[in-house]
Amino acid sequence: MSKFTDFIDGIADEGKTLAKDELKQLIASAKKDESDFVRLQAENFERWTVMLAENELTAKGYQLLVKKMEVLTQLEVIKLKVKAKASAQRLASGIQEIVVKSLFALI
Amino acid sequence: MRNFAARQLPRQSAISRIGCLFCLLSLFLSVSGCSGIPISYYDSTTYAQLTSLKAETTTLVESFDTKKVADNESKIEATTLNLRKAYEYEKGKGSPNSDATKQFEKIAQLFGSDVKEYRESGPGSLGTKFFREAAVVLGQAFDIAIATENLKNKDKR
Repeated sequence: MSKFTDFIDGIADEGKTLAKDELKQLIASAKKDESDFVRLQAENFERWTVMLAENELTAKGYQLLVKKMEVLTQLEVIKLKVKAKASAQRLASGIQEIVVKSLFALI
Repeated sequence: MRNFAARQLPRQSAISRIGCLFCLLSLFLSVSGCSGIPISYYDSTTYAQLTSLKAETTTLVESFDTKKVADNESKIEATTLNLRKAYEYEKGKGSPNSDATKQFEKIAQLFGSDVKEYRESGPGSLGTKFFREAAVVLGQAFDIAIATENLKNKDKR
């Protein structure tokens, strides 16, 4: 058992509002994700949870850090958009060079 | 009959290849100028500003865990100004660069929220290592923007 799962399991939740098993599964699978970004965010979340358990973060500090993750996601979405645009642009430039300039002159 | 089929096959194949090329040409036209999709190129100034600001802002935010607000005010002011200058540089490149401008906006907001939390709570109130972790998040935000810049194609001009 890790400090993270120990802490989640130890949270008193009489109303059963927290899906503890789902949360542990979500983080465990995110840590194995092929995306560097997803793995990094899972590691952030796990580290902050352990820091909360060890009183290195207050509950408010923990909440503020988790909210900051949303900005990282927004930045990553822009990055993926730029990546797709750059790929399309490379294809378009290749067509311009090879097809329009060379092939069209031959057919 | 056999000779006719033999002559037809390469011809049909050539027609289908040219058809494919025209499809690609349509894609080219839609990606480049005709559709108005804004595309920006890699900019070494942007890259240099991002790497420099990453070091400057994260070092400052890390210090929030131990330094008094009053002792950091002049550095906060200087760093905020440097971020603003970099943002204005990106904004000045116009709509093709809107993605980088949005990323700068979000990074500036993230830094602004760190400063706000520091001024409101002071060192230690949100946890002894809160701002060290806030600096990690800020550094990761810069890393994404730096990676984004590196994904852009080099301008041939």
